[in-house]
Amino acid sequence: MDAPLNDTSLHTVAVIGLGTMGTGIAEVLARAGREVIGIDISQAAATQAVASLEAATARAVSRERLTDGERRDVLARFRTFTDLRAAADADLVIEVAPESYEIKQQIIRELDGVVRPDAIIATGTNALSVTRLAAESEHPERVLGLHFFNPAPAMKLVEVVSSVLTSPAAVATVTELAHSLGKEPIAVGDRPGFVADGLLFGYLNQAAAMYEAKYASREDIDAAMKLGCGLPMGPFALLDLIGVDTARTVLDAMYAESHDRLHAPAPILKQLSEAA
Amino acid sequence: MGVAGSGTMASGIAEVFAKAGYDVVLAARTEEKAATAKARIGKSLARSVDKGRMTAETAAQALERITPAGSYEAFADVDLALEAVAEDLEIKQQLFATLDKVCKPGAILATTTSSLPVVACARATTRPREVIGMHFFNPAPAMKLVEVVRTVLTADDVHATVREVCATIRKHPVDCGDRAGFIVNALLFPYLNNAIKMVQEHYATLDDIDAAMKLGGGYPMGPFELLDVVGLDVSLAIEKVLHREFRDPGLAPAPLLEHLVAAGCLGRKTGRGFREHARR
Repeated sequence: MDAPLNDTSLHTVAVIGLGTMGTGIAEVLARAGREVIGIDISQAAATQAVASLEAATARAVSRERLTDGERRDVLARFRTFTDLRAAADADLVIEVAPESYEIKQQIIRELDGVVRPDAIIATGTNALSVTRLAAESEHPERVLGLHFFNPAPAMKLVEVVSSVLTSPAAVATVTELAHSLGKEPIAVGDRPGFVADGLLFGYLNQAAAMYEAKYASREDIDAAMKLGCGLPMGPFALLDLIGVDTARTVLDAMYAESHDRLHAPAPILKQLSEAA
Repeated sequence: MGVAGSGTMASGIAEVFAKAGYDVVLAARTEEKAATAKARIGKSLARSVDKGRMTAETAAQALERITPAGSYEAFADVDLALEAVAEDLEIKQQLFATLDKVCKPGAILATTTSSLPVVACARATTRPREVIGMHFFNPAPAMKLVEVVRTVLTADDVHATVREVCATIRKHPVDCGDRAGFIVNALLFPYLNNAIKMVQEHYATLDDIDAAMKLGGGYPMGPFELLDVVGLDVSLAIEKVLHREFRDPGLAPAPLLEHLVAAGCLGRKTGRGFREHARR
């Protein structure tokens, strides 16, 4: 990987983990002409992903953003599997498995034995260390972070995360891919939350603490940030959308690295996530 | 209704009240300043007429309701006196002592401060129960939010009246207590400060961080666009107040912000802040 590979070199992309994020990323890739190999250990999740893509593309057809023929091609480019070995032909693998070192490290170790030596492995984590995940690979220079935002088809931002071991050529290739998908990639280093979540979750945490201290009501805090700052939604509406458990996990990771008290998850976030 | 001050905030608030049908006494230190402020409101109303948001007649009526005055003695009959003078505690305390003498018993005395303790204004009067904070956002005619700030001494009926007043001027009141930053600034400025620290640590660039917050967080402006609009000196002052109040090391203003302020790079208003801007 001395020079940036040309764009068509990332023709076949495997997406591991077909939850909301994985399915959204698969849709973006398939609609941009990539062959997508969707992999999930659960057959039910794989079936659901196909159904979601069928529904999303049908909506696009009814809005005249896609023709029937294009839709057929998009659906034909998305194939699902339950075995990681299906990723053998991938030029790029994007894993968006659950946010656990154990699960993601296992996937990265197994991928080493499956994919070509020049394939790029991207993790979609937003809470774990890309460097720690990369270190599991025999070729850590080909591992990087690729953080899409939910819903992936709508959100333009993509954070391309380098560890200290990542090859600049891999970053350049993936950045070029992001551009060709119509996204706005930004280059960031490996720290919890990266740029967007790093700034956003600190703010959400302080809003939670403000409510917990009974300084103001949830309704008033949401109204204040919408009407005073022009934000599309208030912090509590956003926390409920993102998931209180996700916020807590990311904040825990941020605090572990920064030791900034403002990143220590407000106790109410812990209580709410434990109460599901 | 009395508005004390002659700056952007004072004239914006006077415009809001006059448009809602209130008779407004706009008092500044000199008659000239008050007249200039009224002229500014006239221009702002004319722009609304040009944009088709109101008729020329309505605008003229609103402007007529505003009486400029060169002395706070003109507040003798107001039911609500709202001050929007400089963010300097000594100046505000002197003003509150004057309002206390001039305004009739039962009148509500309100401050629009964004960073000073409301209770310090209240203590400058003999009627702290009638003193409350009403924090408007700039530009006041466009921004719907008012943070209604109760001190430990504010009376419940005064608070209820102020909430009703907000409804009559079509603003959305939110309740909060008398502590630094209230709701919005206490949540906004630590976020802006963290963005500055990311640049200071060379973790990401201005452009990438602005793009990340606009495209990933749905913010209307990136943090550095916003800082340059708000003004780096104003931002630094608010961050210092937050740091002093909560004593959290994480709230200490980023040194890069202090350096830019020291260098006179204050944002759009000086032609340079985090970015270069064409001078207006």
